[in-house]
Amino acid sequence: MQLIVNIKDENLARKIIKLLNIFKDEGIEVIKKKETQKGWSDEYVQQHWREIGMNTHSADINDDEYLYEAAWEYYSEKHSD
Amino acid sequence: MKLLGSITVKNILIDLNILLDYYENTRRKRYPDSIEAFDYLKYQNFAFVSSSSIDNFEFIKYATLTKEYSNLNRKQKLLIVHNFIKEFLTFFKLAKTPSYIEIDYDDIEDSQIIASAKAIDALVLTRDEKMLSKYPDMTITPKELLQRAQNQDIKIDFANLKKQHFSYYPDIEKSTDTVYAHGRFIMGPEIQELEENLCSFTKAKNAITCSSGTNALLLAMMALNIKPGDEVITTPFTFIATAETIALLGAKPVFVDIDETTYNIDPNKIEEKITPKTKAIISVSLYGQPSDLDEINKYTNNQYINKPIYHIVDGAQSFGATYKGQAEVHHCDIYTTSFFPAKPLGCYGDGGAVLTNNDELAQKMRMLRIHGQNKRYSHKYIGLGARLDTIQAAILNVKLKHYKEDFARRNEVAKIYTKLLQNKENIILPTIKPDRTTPWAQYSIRVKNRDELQTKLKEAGIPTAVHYPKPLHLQECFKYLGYKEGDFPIAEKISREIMSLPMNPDLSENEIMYIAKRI
Repeated sequence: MQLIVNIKDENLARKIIKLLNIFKDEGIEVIKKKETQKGWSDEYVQQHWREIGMNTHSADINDDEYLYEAAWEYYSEKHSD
Repeated sequence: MKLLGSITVKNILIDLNILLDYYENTRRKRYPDSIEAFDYLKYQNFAFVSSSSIDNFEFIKYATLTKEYSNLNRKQKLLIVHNFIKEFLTFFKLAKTPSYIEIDYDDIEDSQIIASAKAIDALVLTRDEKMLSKYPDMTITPKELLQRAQNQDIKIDFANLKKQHFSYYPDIEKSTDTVYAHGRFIMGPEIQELEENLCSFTKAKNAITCSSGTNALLLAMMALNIKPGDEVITTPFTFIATAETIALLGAKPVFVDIDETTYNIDPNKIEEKITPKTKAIISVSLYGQPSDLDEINKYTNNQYINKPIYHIVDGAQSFGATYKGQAEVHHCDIYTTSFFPAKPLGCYGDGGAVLTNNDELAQKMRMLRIHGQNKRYSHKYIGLGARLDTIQAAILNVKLKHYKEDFARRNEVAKIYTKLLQNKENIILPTIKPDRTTPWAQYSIRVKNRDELQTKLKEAGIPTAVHYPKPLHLQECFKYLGYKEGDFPIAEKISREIMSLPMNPDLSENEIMYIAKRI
């Protein structure tokens, strides 16, 4: 079961997700609603790589399950035929 | 020149959590000490990241980009991640995971980082509490690092060879790995490369590497056929090797007193010591400064004893020095030098070289260093086993590339010393004549209260040395020569007063100020 949090304020959304994670053991996965993002051109990414890259939230990766999933995605892409 | 003081005698290996703190806005706000420590360590010779952290950084940054942005494709995410990696690799050096790692299966990543840190004698800069508690003697927090930096906890090393090693670390590692890979440990290709590099640096016609500065002197004298019954004029104020090698060949060392300003042989006192037995003069470029070579060369022509007197320059301390704009090899028959680790151009053990513009002497010395061999198992002369190890040549090839920079830094250090000490009373500072340059193998001052000052400096954590406390004519081994106290009054006086201060290219202005204040 997924509980989708739709709050634009990033900090507030993170805090609420953290609180709601107490229901994780009941099988509830709390996720933030992803806004529909337009694709960026390679040129745009090349020009704004630092700004884009600095805006991640690795401190929130304390969820092993997420890391394992991400690892699966990352390495299967890397080593796929 | 870098002005920062040494904050620790160890290197610093930056853990992954600090890298991630630096490259993420939210973590930057949360962990300001990490950011300050990272900025402090940028471009420092003692700051490293572990090669094992690169892959983990790539993965975590990639994963967080995936989580944050649905609109980035794989190629774009990798571009971003790789730009960050390229950036921090311009700030810090890479430390490899050594093959002797002890893998801890509870945390393989941590054991890789700890193994890397052990290999380069580093403390791991980390916020990871698990690592901090498991390896308390091998870790340091950003806050602790910054505190040490602020406290200016200066630790002074006399020659600081460890810091020099890590300054050249990636190049040295590459060149020595190449030797391990090809396995030609004796007379490998690096030897010829070094000899070509030495010729190119000095513009000498020939350079022959050998196993020490002492053997360089032996090779030079053997090439000149110096034998029992010959006399060789030299200075009594030098390291034992200069005169010891004369005696080893059965010749007689004949001492001449020194000049009171340069501490090198006084050319005005040479003439009275020349006899029909005089075969050579060995001038020593003490502390790096060439002697009065032109004045000495006046005695090497035939007008004195109707046979040549050769001039050898013992440049064990002077590699890179110039006399009237040229390397010393151009002002003598044979120039010898030493690559002892503490020398301005030092290797990681014993090493040396002879340089000459005389092709015949060069050819003879090449044979002499390999048992007088002119072809395999054919021996033209009685020679020596005096080859330089390939591994030392590999190291010297790297260090020689940076030597001009080191030479300039040593001169900068000497300039700061002179500026800070020139108005102090009861100290005589070194004098360099205007027509010559020196690599400042030593910065040696003269003081009347040497023992007292050495003790005071030692208590302040400042190492000093005396080069040399007893002139050679008063050494027991030369008693048979019949010299006595008072024969060379200037050498005797200088040996009572001379004291060398810490000197190396990595000495910072803060450190020099710290030393100068206590003199």
